[in-house]
Amino acid sequence: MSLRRQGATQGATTAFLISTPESGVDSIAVTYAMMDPVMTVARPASAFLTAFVAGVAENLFSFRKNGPPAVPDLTCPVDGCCDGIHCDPRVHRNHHSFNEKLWAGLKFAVTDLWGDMAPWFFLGLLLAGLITVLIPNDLFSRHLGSGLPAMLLMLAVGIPLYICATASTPIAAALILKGVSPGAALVFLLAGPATNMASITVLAGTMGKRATAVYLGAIAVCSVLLGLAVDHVYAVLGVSAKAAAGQAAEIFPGWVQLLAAVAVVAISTKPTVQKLKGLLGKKELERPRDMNEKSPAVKAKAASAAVNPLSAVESSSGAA
Amino acid sequence: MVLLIKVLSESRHLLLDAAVYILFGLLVSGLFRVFLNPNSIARHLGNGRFSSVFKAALIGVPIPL
Repeated sequence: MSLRRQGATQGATTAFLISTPESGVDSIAVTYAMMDPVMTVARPASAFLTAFVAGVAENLFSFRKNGPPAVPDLTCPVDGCCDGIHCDPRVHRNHHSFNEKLWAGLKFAVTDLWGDMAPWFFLGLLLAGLITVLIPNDLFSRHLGSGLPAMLLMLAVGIPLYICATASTPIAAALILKGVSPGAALVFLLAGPATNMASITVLAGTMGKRATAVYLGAIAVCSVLLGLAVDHVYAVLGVSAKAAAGQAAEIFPGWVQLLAAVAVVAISTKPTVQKLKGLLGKKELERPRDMNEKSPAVKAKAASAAVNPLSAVESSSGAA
Repeated sequence: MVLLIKVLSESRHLLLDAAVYILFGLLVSGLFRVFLNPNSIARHLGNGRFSSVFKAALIGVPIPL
């Protein structure tokens, strides 16, 4: 589903560039599993609001329609049998059976989507484990647990960090268990995936410095305001995020969880091993484990993003 | 060593919590990709100053990266 950039207003491009990485079906589901229902709703709603505000700000500060109307990528998602330009959609509609489409969708989800996300997700799990074990229980509740300073800290950590929505979820859940307020955790969940050093550089190159400043400013301001709002919601509802974290999954019996975990590990092994191999292969060059340092493949994607930001959102997401 | 085992056991616990939901999220994402028609989405986006932003933001919410 590569919406191409041509023709979309800059604001629409910005909005799409923010709400896509900040939330997705997968990260919403994982949020429900690791956190609580309030957060499960707050996260996509906040992503939408942040994206909308940033997009409108973009259009108000610099409104220009660039070129011809949007041209979506209509290449057949099943097997690429048709490029969507030289074939009639009405003809192509009968090319593939329902089962074929179902199978192609599953294959895309497991190999492409999860293939990009898996290494980062396991890194997120490890970091969450480290936070849970190493950080004293009263550290955050005594200092910087909630309020504006905590949100600004999360912003400072989240903006340069290179992490996807799904992988950031276990980290945020661990932070909440350690007494960080749900609002501050939300700031991390919003700013973490929406921005990183690499994407900021690409944006500055394609959309200009001013548009990039508007983009970052809108994300920062919206995230903090939404974080404060979510803390307020928790206070009004009288629920404690700490108590609710990790409750959702209790509805499944142990063996179902185990089976699912084995399946997740099974589909994660190949991409994770490949990622590790890639990192080790770069060791001779320098800084192999630096998360912000990208592989040549990702760099190539970033370069293509410079040409075509909207369609590149998904590919550069390998960045997760 | 004890510390490492503790860390890994916490990670394992989180993985067990999340695994069913990960599979579910991936399934839905995959179906999105195959069954949604990008043409109609792009047509709906349009060029409005607010409406295009509203729609683009909304479409982006369920789409995973």
